[in-house]
Amino acid sequence: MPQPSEDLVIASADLDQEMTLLDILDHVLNAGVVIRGSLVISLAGVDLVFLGLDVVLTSVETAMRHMRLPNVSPSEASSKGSPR
Amino acid sequence: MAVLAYCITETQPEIAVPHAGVRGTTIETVRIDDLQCLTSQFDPQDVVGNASIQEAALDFNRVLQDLLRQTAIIPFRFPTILTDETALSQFLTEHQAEYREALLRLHNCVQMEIQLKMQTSTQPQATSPKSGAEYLRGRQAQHQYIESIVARFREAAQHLAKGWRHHETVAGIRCFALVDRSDVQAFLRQMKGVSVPTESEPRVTGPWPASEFLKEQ
Repeated sequence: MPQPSEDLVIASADLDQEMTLLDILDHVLNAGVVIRGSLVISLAGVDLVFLGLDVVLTSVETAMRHMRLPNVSPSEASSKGSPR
Repeated sequence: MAVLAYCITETQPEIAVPHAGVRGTTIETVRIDDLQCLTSQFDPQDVVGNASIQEAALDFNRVLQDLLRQTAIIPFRFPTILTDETALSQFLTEHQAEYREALLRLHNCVQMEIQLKMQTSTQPQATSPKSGAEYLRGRQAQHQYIESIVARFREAAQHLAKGWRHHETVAGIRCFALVDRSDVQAFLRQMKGVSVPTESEPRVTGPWPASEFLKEQ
């Protein structure tokens, strides 16, 4: 049976209650404008680091979304300038 | 040198630019008419290894939260790295109309998020289905169950939320409410009063930049 949500967890900067690391990482990695394509840095050596950041930091959910699009190139999978 | 893009804001009202960005770098602005993008120089070689990456992500969030407290922002996903400021100017010029519209629409608003976990034990018909039809009926019941919980939050938020979106994820469901800055405390109080199954581990976080509402539905 539904219960009054006394167990509701509130993580709000407005209440001086710190958000968890997971909350923060989830938002900075998964929310916001995405730029893909020729504008993204593609200098020798930097690509690897950028790829590393993507792989290390992406959430499971995002990774699974990408896994569902195995034949789609990055520029097709994420249109230039599209938000989350 | 490469630049890391943080977010886009309007140039007016003037904002206090945070003193330091990721790894203590100086934050600069790239302006296109009445829009500006905050950036800092970025050397990817400085951010190698999980601890450094995590630290950089937290620095990035600190900058966004600092700016969000002052004005509406359109954040870039971390890490968005461009070859130089010229590339960023080109991007801003191409997309300025849509970002100007979004900032105008989202002016003075923030995004609050409600996460609900949907574990098997909380779902009706948790037993293994014996047929395809039974599986589909189970899925339908599960969907209705989730929707009924979401509806409780939505109803509680209806007088405060200027916008509402929700979608299912592998872990449960995520709801996003667009709330006026001045209504954040009232929104949190309203959410406290919602009755939900404790197993769903309801969690409210925010305020965040209104990323889910950048485009009108």
